[in-house]
Amino acid sequence: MKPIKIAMMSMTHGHTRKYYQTLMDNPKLDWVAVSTENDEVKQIFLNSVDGIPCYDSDEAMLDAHPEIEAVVLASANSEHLRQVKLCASRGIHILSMKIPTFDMDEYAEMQRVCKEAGVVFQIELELHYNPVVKRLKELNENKAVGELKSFEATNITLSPVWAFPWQGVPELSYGKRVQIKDGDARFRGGALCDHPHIFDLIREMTNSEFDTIFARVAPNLRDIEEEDMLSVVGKMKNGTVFLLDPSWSRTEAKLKVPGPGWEISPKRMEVNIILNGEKGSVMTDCFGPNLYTNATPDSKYVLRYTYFDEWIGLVDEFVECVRNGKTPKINLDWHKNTIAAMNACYESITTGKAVKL
Amino acid sequence: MKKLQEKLDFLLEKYAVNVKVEICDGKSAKFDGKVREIYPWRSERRFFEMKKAVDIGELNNISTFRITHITKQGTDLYELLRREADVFEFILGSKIVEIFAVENTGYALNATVLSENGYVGSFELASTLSENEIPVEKHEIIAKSGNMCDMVVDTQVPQSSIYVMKADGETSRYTDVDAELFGLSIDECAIVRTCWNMARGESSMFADGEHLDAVISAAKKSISDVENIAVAK
Repeated sequence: MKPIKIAMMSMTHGHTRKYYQTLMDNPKLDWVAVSTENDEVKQIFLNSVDGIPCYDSDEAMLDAHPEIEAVVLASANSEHLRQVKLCASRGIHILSMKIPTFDMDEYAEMQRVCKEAGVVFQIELELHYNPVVKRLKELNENKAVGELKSFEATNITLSPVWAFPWQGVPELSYGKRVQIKDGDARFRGGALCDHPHIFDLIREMTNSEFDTIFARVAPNLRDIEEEDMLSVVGKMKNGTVFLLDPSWSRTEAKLKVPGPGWEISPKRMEVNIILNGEKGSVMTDCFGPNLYTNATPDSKYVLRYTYFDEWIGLVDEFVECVRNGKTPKINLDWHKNTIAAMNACYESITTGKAVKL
Repeated sequence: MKKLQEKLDFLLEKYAVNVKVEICDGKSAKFDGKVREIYPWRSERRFFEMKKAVDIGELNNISTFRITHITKQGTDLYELLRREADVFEFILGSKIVEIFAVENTGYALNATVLSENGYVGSFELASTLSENEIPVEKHEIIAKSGNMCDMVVDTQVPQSSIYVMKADGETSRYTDVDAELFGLSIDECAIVRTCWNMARGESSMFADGEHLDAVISAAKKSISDVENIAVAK
């Protein structure tokens, strides 16, 4: 198979670094270039990776490298529509970060331009390529604990806003400035926007769609203008009840570049899923067990992750789709109801009422 | 071994590694026809990450490496000691030069070792568990800069990623660590990864087998002589 000429755009997303190794190791990829959002991001990239040409704008990169066949959009959510149109107009396939957009008109436009251009649009929901999640899905499909009755999940992390500032700006994260509810100084665009995974997994694992959603914000842990703590309760159309926690409830040091000393809470990222069935329960830690250490700045006891190979499978699927004209599992059509559910959370927070989908 | 060989062939093809590798067993493999001993644990990510922490100096001024390994009845404890001695040397990058060991034959083997860099290691090994029990392993490096351990604080047994607890009382657990090798156990993944890494020429996968044999000989002599024994060079 001829390697895909691939590039990355913006380099401002928290997952940007996860691609470096896979893009260099995978023989089915030829990493051609990157474009960076600003000089600071450019310097961070140049300090991390050697030998990949780096451009100051997306257009300059694409003009200089007409051979580029595919792009990873490692950018703020607010940049996605512009970049999608740019790529689609040149027939370039797209691997997007997890939130294409929260604006459903923009979303429809993305669907349209990608369809018309015939390009692959894959959304990065890397948990699907996590071996623990794969096992969990298998147990669920085999009804290891009978019919599923409830689904509880955390998708909790530290807040990336200090290292990746766009996530702390409502217009760049949520797409516009919308007050979270009357009498509350916060705006949409915080922790919820960072954590779509559990809203996606529950749809696949219940083989059902959201029916009712009620969400509540809690007092913030940080002095930021977006929500950082919330919980979500509801029911799927097949009757499965759920409780989801997509908070930034793990605290962090305000580092500009993630590294040792970032975590204050011991585990900076957790996705734990409980399935309660008619014949028992399944408890899952998608990122554990690990190593545990206090050989850190300030001697904080933290864990050192040992399982981060999701990007291998994710990129493998993207390559397969681009080369063989397949549709990725997490495509724009599938993902639409996940985004709709997240929007329903914000609506519920604003109105104080449950939202029926 | 057929399943492991299939997974290895998949990796070799996927990453275009042009070496013919045939897994003989969990201890050796043929590389382009040449049989070589393999040290599978060197590809376990927990050990690799520990080694990285030592290599980059995150763990510095190391004092002691404590190792506990309780496994199934009938396990050859000298073979287990050979494995753990290699884990010690692989992670710390320092060879064992002295050993004092005691044994209660067939059940337990304890040892304290000294490395050429002055690090101390302690090994608590036992073969007492039933066939169905999950082995208990704990590897803890203690240094001035801090400790690092593969078992979380306040626990005595290893954790798993998934627990299935059924209403009828049956409980099962799973730990899957490698998406490309999904379906293999941690030990099986380590065998395949090590063969693959060796085929790619990854130098950290190669150990000094003769030296490890000398460590075991020294341990046996220590047990019989009740003395601290220098490992033959």
